[in-house]
Amino acid sequence: MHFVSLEFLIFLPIVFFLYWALRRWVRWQNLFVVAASYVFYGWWDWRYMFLLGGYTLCSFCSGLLLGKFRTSASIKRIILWSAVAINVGVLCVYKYLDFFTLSTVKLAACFGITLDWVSLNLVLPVGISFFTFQALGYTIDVYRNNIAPTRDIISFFAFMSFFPQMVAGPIEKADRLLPQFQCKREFSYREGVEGMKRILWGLFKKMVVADNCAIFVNQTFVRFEELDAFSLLLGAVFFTFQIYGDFSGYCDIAVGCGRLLGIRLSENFRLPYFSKNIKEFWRRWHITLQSWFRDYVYLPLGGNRKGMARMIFNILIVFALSGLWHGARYTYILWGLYNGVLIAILILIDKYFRREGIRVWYKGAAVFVTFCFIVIGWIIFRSYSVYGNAIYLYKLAIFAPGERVDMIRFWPCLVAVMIMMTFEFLNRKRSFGLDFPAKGLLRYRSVRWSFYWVLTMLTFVMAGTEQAFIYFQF
Amino acid sequence: MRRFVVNLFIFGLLIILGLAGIECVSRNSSNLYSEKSRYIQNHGKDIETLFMGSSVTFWGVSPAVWTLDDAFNVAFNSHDISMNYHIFKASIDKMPHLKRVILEMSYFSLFDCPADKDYNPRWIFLGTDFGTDKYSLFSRYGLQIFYPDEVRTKLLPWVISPIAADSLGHSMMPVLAVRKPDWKENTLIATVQTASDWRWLETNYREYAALLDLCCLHSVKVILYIPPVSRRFLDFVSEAQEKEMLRRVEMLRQQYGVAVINLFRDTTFTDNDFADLMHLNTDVGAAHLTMKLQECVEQLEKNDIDIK
Repeated sequence: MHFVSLEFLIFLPIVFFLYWALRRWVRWQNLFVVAASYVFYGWWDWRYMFLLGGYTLCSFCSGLLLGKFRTSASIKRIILWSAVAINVGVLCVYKYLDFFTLSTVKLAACFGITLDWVSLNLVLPVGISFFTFQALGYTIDVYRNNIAPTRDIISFFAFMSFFPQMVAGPIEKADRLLPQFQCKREFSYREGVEGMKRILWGLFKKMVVADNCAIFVNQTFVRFEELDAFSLLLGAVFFTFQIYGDFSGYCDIAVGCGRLLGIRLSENFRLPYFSKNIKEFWRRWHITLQSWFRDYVYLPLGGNRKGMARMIFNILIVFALSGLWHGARYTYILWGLYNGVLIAILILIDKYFRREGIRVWYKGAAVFVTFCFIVIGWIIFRSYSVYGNAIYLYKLAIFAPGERVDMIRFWPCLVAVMIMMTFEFLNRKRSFGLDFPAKGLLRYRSVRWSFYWVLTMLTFVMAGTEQAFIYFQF
Repeated sequence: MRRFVVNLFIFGLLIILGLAGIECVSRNSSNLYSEKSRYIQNHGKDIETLFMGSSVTFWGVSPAVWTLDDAFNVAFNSHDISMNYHIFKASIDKMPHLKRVILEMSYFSLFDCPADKDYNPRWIFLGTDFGTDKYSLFSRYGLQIFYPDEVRTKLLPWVISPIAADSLGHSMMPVLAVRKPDWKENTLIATVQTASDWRWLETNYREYAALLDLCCLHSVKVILYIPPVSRRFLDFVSEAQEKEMLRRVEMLRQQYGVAVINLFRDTTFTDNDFADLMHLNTDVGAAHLTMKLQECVEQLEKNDIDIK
């Protein structure tokens, strides 16, 4: 089941009431979280539950073994690499095997070699990339002695399967989330209210912004060869807001659900489209994934400690992997590399031109230029093929003529995006777009309730045709 | 906790009241489904010919041009045979003098995925606005607020133009004058309608048979018509699909004694009749098709086809 469904509307209140009914018994409460999470996950396909259970057991056991052999560096290394191999191996089989074998077959064909390979066509389990990384993160942290291995299997299962964040993040670090399951949680009225507001905001971003933009975007990217440059530009810009509304909306709902249950999840977005440069963008977009890559790939590769050339190489590797993480498509890898190259260029500019005292760009212009680069990146990400990328960007560059896209959805999309960005900007120093301070008219409950009531009605009435969450496919 | 639950309950109640209000206003606002249903309710006793089908019939048949008797076009965009069955079932009691149903059998009709295999919001309006009984109030098709797009169109018709039809149910757009010069290059519609997946053939065939059974039960003659397509469309036609369509039509003809009007490769329909590769435009093309159908029906009835 997903967040925007009737089933979840029934599921969440049941979980909420039963969860808090068990608040005196932490173990039973955690067990209930595990059960509810497995029901949530198994709703897609009951077979996925076994995969999730397998991952969890593997990580739990690796943690225990790492703890047992903590004095033997070589055995620890074997355990670590075995755990990594299992986690990454399973992920690769489901996600990348067909892609790599098909690519190999095509490459061999270029040299006149015919390779016979049967495609597995495995169905990709929802959220596999997310919980694989979460599991790996725990194992590596135990290896590094950043955290002690847990012996509490129930709270570990709860950590791995916590339903709000299991399917599409945020990717939680064990030292942040696991302790929350190991201690008693008390219900707080304020947390409950904040949680509900967060869920409402997430629903608005998903149902109104993302789902409306999706319809406009889909027709643009399907018919890009026939459309004019203006239509393509609109499609690209609306996709930029679609993916933000979709993913950050999901994360808002996840964080809100967590708060309802007294669990604090990490923030995954911090107004990324107000970034002044691409480096800042990547500190504000999908924060937990970038943190994961920084801590477990970039820094082990040497980070910035081995010279400029090696640093840039490491950055390119990280971003290529980040692109590949999103899926088995060349466009994702290209998108990752595109961002890596932009960051590398920025680092070089900072290094060589700052010293010469080049003036810092005005904030507004910097935000606009960064936004343009981000939009180009999303074109690469969204296109169906590398060829499609090239044609799309070429047509934009030459202001190509063509058919104008059906503009019937333009105004609803624009209004929805403007509401979202206005609220987010107004509350940029607070935690999310609906986190208005109780000042002025908002001191009065009737005013606040009316505002939230109107927003809820708007969310239902302005909702676009239901679309799947984009990040569920990763 | 108690305070939170109480406040949430009160807020939830206000939301439900708000949504109920929107649902009521939406149900009281008209759309194409409610207008066609109202027409049948008010004028059903006069209707003697009923045109049924998808957008091909909705655009392509104009009862205003039909002079044989009183006719009505109850086709809708993207409707499949199952929807037509339920429309007929919901309407037949209001049409005591109905003589004949002219039912579309397009190139894709037997091969399309049934409209309820995935969620299809048209069932909401068929149920709540037209009065079909396939889904109940407590199903996912029970409330109009489950499809906000259409609710917005109903509540804001000056912002989002609803689909226009004349009083006899015929679409008013698109007319020949608005057709784009490169209309023949838009081949998407032709490629989409050429099925590589024949999984639904038997299901759709049974739906056709069910509708014919229902018509027999009410002593209504059925005339199956295969609508014309543009010459460019024929470049995309799969021989196998066309052959199977004709074979199934023949099976229905033999089993139910239905008359068949096959205009699929009729060369009297020229480019000027079409809005796109598959649909006739609503002025020139619709007039042409309607008169052609009338001519054929007069011929058939002169030869007196029996129905089992």
